[in-house]
This record gives sequence, structure tokens and C-alpha cells, in this order.
Amino acid sequence: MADSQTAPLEPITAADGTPLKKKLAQALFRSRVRAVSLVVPLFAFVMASFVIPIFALMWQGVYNDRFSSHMPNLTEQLTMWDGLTEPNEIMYGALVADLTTARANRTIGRVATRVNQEYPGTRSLFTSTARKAKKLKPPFKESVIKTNKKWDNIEVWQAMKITSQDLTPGFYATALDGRYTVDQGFVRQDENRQIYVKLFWRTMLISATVMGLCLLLGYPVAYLLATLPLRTSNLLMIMVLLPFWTSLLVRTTAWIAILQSQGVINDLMVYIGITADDARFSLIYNMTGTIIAMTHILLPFMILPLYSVMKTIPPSYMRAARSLGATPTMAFIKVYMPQTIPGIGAGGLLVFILAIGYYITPALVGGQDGQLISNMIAYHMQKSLNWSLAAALGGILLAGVLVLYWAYDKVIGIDNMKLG
Amino acid sequence: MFNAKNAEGQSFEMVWDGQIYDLDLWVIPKGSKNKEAALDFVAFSTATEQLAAQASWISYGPARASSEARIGTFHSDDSINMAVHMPTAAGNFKNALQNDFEFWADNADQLNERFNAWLSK
Repeated sequence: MADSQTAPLEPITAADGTPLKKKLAQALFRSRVRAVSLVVPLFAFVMASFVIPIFALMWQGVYNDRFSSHMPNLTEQLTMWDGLTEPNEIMYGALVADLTTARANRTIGRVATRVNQEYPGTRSLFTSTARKAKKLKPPFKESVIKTNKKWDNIEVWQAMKITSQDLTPGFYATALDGRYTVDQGFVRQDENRQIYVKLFWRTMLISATVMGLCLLLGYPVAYLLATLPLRTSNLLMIMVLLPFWTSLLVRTTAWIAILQSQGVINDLMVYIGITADDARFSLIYNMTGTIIAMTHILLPFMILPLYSVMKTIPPSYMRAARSLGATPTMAFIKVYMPQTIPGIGAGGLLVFILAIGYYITPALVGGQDGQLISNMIAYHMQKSLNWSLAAALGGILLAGVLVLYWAYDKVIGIDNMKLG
Repeated sequence: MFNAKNAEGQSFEMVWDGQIYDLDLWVIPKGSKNKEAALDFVAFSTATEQLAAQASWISYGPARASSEARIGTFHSDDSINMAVHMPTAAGNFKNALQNDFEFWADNADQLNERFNAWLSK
């Protein structure tokens, strides 16, 4: 490429006369552009389908402008109101004006739903008063209360004040079994309404149990895979991978067939005589079912990283330990196990993070006490349509995972992780 | 349920105590071209005779009390007297509760949440 038979002081030039240095920089730049442009589609895809939606939804957990965007006049009044004194005539006037426009624009339903989330039992109060709002005459305070005496209740106004704030801690308060109030800030919810905190703990507990069981069951399998002769280990590998390739739904429903009270295991137990016919084990539609099915489904995620790490451990280390006088158990614990820690860490983290967000399996086999927080998030996304609360619950879950990830990094070190 | 019990002979028994009933409605869209014909149809289909006739096909209670006396037998089986299978029959309707949309619009979210909390106990 270079034709550099020129005088030594002149810059070296390429065939077309441009300095070689510039030419080289151009060539490097081109190859870099080519490399980046190969990554661009994936990057754009991840941004558009993953990063942006996640942040947009997380934002909904703290930001909800349903009320303020449809009730502008009242929002202005509520911002000035201290939340404790009796609502005045101007506020009632703003309420009537906004209800009238919201009714005309058909947005009253959204406003009513939003306030109803904060103060249940008020949805019809808004929709029915909005129907009459056009005909109401001043003094508005009197005429509004005449349509429904709930408007005289200061708690309704306090709930409106809270919903009129676009940036609100209310959904996170609900997600932590509390309520955000004007006068007292965060208040714990009644005992019989507390649910989310318990579900978070249960999710953590079940995920940790599943992770522990996967490690317990997967470690020996991975060890066999790594140490057996190729012929046998290949067969074993296929047995690990086959269920891995089978649809999640098929495996979950298979567990239903096996575990249900008229299922394979219970029938066998009754036949052998371990249990009476009328005292069959309840192995499914409870926490046991969730743990069994999830352990089975997540097992390959533990075995594969363990296997890939064990495969790289030279067998001569164990032999060396034995020849230096260690018992087989000693050699295994002192020499072999420490070398598999990157695999344990990778498999454990993978299984735990997958388990924490598991949805289909607990939904199918969880029954009452096997439901995880993800089922509640799905409920608020699909049924109650309280997306902000779902976002808050998801945000807490994400924060929990990040904290665990950070703790893992501190204890074992993320560089130490090996996935394959 | 009626079909399973009477046509298929399953051993079910209806418990009418505390039944929650709902009314079906006819709606004519605003600006409809055939409003007159629609009104005629509504008048026809909700008349005493027609509501009583409907009861011989399915165990849905007639919305008119005057239909009650005219309810006959099941369309495919003369031995079944439909009147006693009506949710609106005098003996069945004692402790009935009408489904209240407004109540559920106001309280569904809150009650579902409490129900979920109770379930997870």
C-alpha cells in the first residue's frame, strides 16, 4: 500500500499522495465505524425494547398526572390549601368548573379512578356529581354538598390534595403496606390489609430456597458431568438439556399431573400404604408446589455454569492433594470446592434473580401461599390497571435485586463470576 | 346448572338463599335509523307472554311478575315444571340481592386488595 521511496524529511505518503498517517487514521476510523454499526441494531433494540420502557414505567411509580392534567383549576387551589382547614367556597367553585369540563371531555372517569385508588369509595361520587355539575348554582359549597354530603368530608379533599401532586410517594407507600396522608405523612395500613411486604419476604425466601435446592441437587450432577468419561457424560448432558429445551408451560403442567392429590405420587403413596386414601399429601397449589416446580425448571441454570467451571479444573490438583496426604473428603473440600466458587456464584445469582421475578409457574401451581410478588405486579398491570402501583412494586423488587448484586460483588466479586 | 341437573341427571341442588341477581337490559343506540322498529321489538320481547315463553327454554327468571303464573314446562321435556326452577319463583326469591354496579365501581379495587391480603394469610 505504501510507496515511500521519497526524501527522508518529507512525510510518508500513500499511493494517492495523502500522508500515510492520515490514511491510516481514515482506515482505522472506517473499521471502527463498521464495528460500531454492527452493534447499533442490537443497541437500538435493547434501548427501545428494554431500557426506555423500564425507565418510563419506573417513572410512573412516582409520577402520575391523571388528576392535575384533567382538573387544573382545582389543582391550583389544592396546592395553596394547607390540607387541614375547612375547604372554602373558591375551592368548591374550582371543583364544579373542573368537573363540568372533565365531564364534557369525558375524562372524569380517569380522575375518579385516580382518587378512588387513594380513597376507596369515591369513584361514583365524582362521576355522579360531574353529571350534575353543569346545573349547579353558587354558592357552590352549599349546592355541591347538597348533591352528596360526602363532599363535606375533609378526607375526600385531603385525598384530592394528595392525588393532585404529580410527583407522589403514595404508590411506594402503598407498595410498602402504608398510606401517604396530608397531615401525618406515611401511615401503616391496617393489619388485615397488609400484603406486599409479606409477599416481598416470601419471594426472597422462596427464591433463596430454590437457589439452595438447585445448588444441592445441581452440584453433584455438574461434578459427574465434568469428571465422567465423555460417552457417559454426553448422555447425562442430554438428560440435563432435554428438559431445558422443553417448554416451561409443559414442564409446569407435568408437575401438576404428578403432584396433584389424585396424581402419580399420591396414588403411589396410597398404593404402597404410606398414607391413607383420605389423608393424601397436598403437594401442589401451595408453597411446596411452587418450590418443587421452580427448582426443577431452574436447575439447568445452576448445572451449566457449575459444569463449565468444573470442566476447567485439572484433575491433577486432586491427585496432588491426595498424594500429599489429604483424605478424599479433605481434598474435595480444601482443593476442589474453592475452585468451583465462581461457578457457584454465577449459578446462584442466575437462579436467584430468575426466581425472584418468576411468574408463570407460581401462577399455575402456587395456589394461595405460593404466590410471589410478581403475581401481584401482574394483577395490578392486568386486572386493577393500577400501573403506578405495579411500577412501584417492580421498582422495589429491582432495588432489592441491585442490593443483592452489590452485596454479591462485595463478598465474592463480580469479576470472579463465570458463566461459561 | 339447570341443564346439568335436569337434562343430564347430575346430582346438584340449587341453593337460592342469598342469590345475587342481575338485570339484562336492551339499549337502542342514539341516532339509530330503525328506532321505531327497535322500540316495537323491545315492547314485544319484554311483554308478559314472551318473558314467560323464554322461561321454557332456559331457567332465567322473567323480569315481569305477571309472567310468573304463565310459565309452562321445559321445551324438550313436559315433565319438568319450569316455574319452580326460576330464580324469581316466590320461594327462591326471599333473600335475593341485586348486583350493584356503583358499589363495585367504588369498592372493587379496595375489596380485591383485602381479599388478596386475606388469601395470602
